[in-house]
Amino acid sequence: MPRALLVGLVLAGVGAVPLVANNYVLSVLISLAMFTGLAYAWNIISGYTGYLSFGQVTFFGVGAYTAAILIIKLHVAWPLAALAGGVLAAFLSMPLGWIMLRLRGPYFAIGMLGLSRIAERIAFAWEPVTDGGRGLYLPPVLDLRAVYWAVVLVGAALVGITSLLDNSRFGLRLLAIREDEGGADNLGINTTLAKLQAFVLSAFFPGVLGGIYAWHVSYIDPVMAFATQVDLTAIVAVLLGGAGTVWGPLIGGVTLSLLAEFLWARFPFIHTALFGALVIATVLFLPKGLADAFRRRGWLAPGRAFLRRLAARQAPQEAAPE
Amino acid sequence: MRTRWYALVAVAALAALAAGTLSPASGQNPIVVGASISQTGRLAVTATYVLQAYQLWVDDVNAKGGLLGRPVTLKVYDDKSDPGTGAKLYEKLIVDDKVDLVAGPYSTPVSAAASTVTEKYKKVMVAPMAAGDALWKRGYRYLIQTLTPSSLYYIGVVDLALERGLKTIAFMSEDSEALRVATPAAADLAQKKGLKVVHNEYFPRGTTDFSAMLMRIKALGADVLVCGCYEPESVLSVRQSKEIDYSPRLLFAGHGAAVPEFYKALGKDAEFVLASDHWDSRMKTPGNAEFVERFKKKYGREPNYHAAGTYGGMQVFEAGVRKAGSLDQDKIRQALGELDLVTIFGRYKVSETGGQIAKTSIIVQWQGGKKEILWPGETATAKAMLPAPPWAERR
Repeated sequence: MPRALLVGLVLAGVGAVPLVANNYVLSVLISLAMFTGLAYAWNIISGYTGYLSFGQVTFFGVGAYTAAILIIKLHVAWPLAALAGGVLAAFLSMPLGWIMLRLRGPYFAIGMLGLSRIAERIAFAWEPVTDGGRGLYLPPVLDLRAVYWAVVLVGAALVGITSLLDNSRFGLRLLAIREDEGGADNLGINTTLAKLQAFVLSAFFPGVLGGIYAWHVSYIDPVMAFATQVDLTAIVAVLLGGAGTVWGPLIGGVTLSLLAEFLWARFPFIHTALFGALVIATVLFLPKGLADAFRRRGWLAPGRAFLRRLAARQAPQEAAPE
Repeated sequence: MRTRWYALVAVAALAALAAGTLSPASGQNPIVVGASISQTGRLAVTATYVLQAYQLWVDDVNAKGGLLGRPVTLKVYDDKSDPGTGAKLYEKLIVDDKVDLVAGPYSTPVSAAASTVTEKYKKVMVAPMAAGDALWKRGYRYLIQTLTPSSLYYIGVVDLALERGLKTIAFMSEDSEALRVATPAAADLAQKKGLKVVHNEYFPRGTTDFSAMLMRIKALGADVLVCGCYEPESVLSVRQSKEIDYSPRLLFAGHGAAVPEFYKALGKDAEFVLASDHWDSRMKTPGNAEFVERFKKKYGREPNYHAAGTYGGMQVFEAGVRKAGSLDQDKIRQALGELDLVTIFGRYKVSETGGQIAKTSIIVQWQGGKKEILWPGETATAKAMLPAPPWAERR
């Protein structure tokens, strides 16, 4: 199948980068992949379901702390520790989602923001476990290649999952909730369950990425683990790329990271201001994101290709009994 | 949103500064010193002192004819107060820009992340503003501390108490890593020198009611009270010791009592209280007065200990490079391990690990609304007004 071949080639190409790139390029690519992954995770709950979350960083931080503690105290291998971070984040997201998803619109957004602030306070206060404001020191990472592969693997998994989601009944259910939650409920969709599933999915991956981040940076403290900045960057990436689409987070994440890197190298003293201006401009002129603009120009195929094919095939069958 | 505005203002200010200060170096092939500084983000306000001190140091070195006969330039990036970004930038400085020397970022978190990178490339990093003693317990070799280690925060109090013939001492300290090191160090020294430790207790961060603790200490009749405190606790512990009419003959209230806000909050009650500080503009260390003068002239504001500590750290780095006579990192590391000198910030000497062992805090006392330096003796600006009069006898 040419499609599978293409996917395989792209993956092989991306995976082979560390064999030629130096460590600086790798560290840029790690943060690029990290933010693209976070953008994908945010896209699941906020892009598809329409529940704008300003607190997914809570799960990033939980993952970071879980992994750090497992590595320091139990000497767990770091990939396992990162995975455990994701699992704990997912478990934690179940009761939290059950409570928080009763809120809608701005209330949910603000509620999630509050949740992340509470998580930060807990990390400060729970000194016996987190060492409070002093932070946790991890053993140094001397080989960036493994970190790169891990982050890229998580990113690729997220692209795959989003693509499956986009072409599934589950994805359609989430979109229905986004468009009209009451209507979706009337059509027999178990909206509570669907929202919760999306929420857990979008908590697991930040947890894993948080674990990898803690390992990569080799130090973690409450402020950096629960930084609102992490959420904002992911949100901007998704908005720029296109919310609720398969390729939006990738386009947004890559564009933003490269742009930030370019601006920062050229205009060291005003790069944040320029960056902000660009974000405002894109939101004003491309409200549906770059993915939509690309699609209208025919550079990108419309989403839900599988469902479209299915619909196209069913049409003649339905005409037959007449 | 407010922090955003601060960031913009800081960026604008720095842009203006940069235009004036990053002049091209004379001669060719300069030595490039690389660092990341938090020019935006939550640490930006204090971090500008660090950056300004770096720039002043570069100016001063070039005015003296440079380092190893070559001019020095500074390459600074903005880490946005984010340790992850800091780590990335040190990769860039070392791998991509191939800078000759690496200086530390502002905060401890960013230093923690950056030092992992510098250690990987075996690059010496003098980290003037990295405080956590835990940084030097990681077994890294190339990280050098120049700030006061917590074990030497309070030892001056013991000397001052003994000078005045005081007999008993009580400690109450915040339960934090630094004070869990600082307090036992001072208590051990007291015991060794014949001052009796009658009480030693830790309270959780954020405690606001010290009265029960102070009552116990009052009942023990301790001559000296050492509060291992930061700002709010410094004020509260002094205020509450007055409320229960406990008058230690020497009342020491930690680093938190050295800031101007302490005197503002307590007014006359702050009189006679002792405090510890990293640095003071009147310290009689070589070149200190000139440093303060030049800093004020160049930037139009008083330097704080962040600026002085950074400048002092770079003096150490400079001495290390001169002693090594080359940019070979292992030679510089060895030289830094052997050096024993006094910078504007105070004495410098490190142990095997690169952790500081000689820089002490200074001990100051509030006298007539002003801070006077009491200890160490060679840098004192006034005589200790001790023992302090009981609360009842003050106006």
